[in-house]
Amino acid sequence: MSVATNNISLPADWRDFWALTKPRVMSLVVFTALCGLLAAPGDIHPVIAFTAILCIATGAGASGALNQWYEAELDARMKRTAGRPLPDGRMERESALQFGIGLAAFSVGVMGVAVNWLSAGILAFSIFFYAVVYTMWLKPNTPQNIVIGGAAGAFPPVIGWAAVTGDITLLPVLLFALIFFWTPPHFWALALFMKSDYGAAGIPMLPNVAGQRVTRNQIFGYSFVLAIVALAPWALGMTGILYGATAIVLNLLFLGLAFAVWRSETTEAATMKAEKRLFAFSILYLFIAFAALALDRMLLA
Amino acid sequence: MSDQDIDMGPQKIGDLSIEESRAVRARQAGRARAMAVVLFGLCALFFAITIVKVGVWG
Repeated sequence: MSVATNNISLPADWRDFWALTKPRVMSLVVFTALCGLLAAPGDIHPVIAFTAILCIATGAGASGALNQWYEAELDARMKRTAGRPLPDGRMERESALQFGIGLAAFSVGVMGVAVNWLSAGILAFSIFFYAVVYTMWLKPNTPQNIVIGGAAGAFPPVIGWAAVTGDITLLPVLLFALIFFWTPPHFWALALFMKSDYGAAGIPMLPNVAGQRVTRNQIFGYSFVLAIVALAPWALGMTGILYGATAIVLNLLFLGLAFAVWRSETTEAATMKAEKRLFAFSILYLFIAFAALALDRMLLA
Repeated sequence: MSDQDIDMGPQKIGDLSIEESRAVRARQAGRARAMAVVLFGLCALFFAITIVKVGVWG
């Protein structure tokens, strides 16, 4: 409940609990879930749609809190994460664990009762996958951590779809695959210029374990798989030309930036402009691709 | 509670000074306000869900 700060025993601030939910990650989760919900055929009452998105956001927040509870000591060793509430000593670990479990139970319970139990089941599995499979098992043990762990972040559009339809068809599976294959080039671009940070924490990210050349090859290779998956909804006739044209432009740009990363030989984080450009663009890529898909499907409907 | 605690007024918490006690009270008040907002929001949400589920809004 309380921690020693400047020799005073202060209860954790509400902003620290908010920070535990990783609000920036949550914004991407909410957006992709909303796009999955809007792309789904059928009607959903706005109140139920709002509840579904709130539950998905809360579930993502629970995952973030449980992740920070488990990784408090690792976070203290990385510059990027040392200021978080737990490593900074603003909150006790037990509070983060209780907060995370409470949010997870709330999000799954309300989703099941108010929306449907298929979406609640997928939400529960995604929280388990991120907190246990990714955080506790994959991340500290294998350089393929973010490849398999990327599945955790790929569930939101599927949950959004299932909230409307109560089932899962090929399009939500393709949306899942889009985020799944987007994750490796996105995170490995970050890992290239944050290599020393991850190394200090002992996390076996690909650049630390297999080297920069292998990582650059993998980034470029995954970019081709990503392009194929991104174009599939249009090629299979599930979307119109709006999404198709957007996907072509986005993936050409993505491949161009990934090619620059592949060609680069720099080893100094400060001079890794191509890697930083790819990382920044990859976030924009996901936002635009999902927005175009949702808009296209709404126009078709 | 010791005599000294009583002498220093109702704002004092345990062995903390008045200033430290005020800092703790401010933190507690902030958390209480945040919790109030969350609870009122949930009341409104559950009311709306119930109305939708019973079909009043179609």
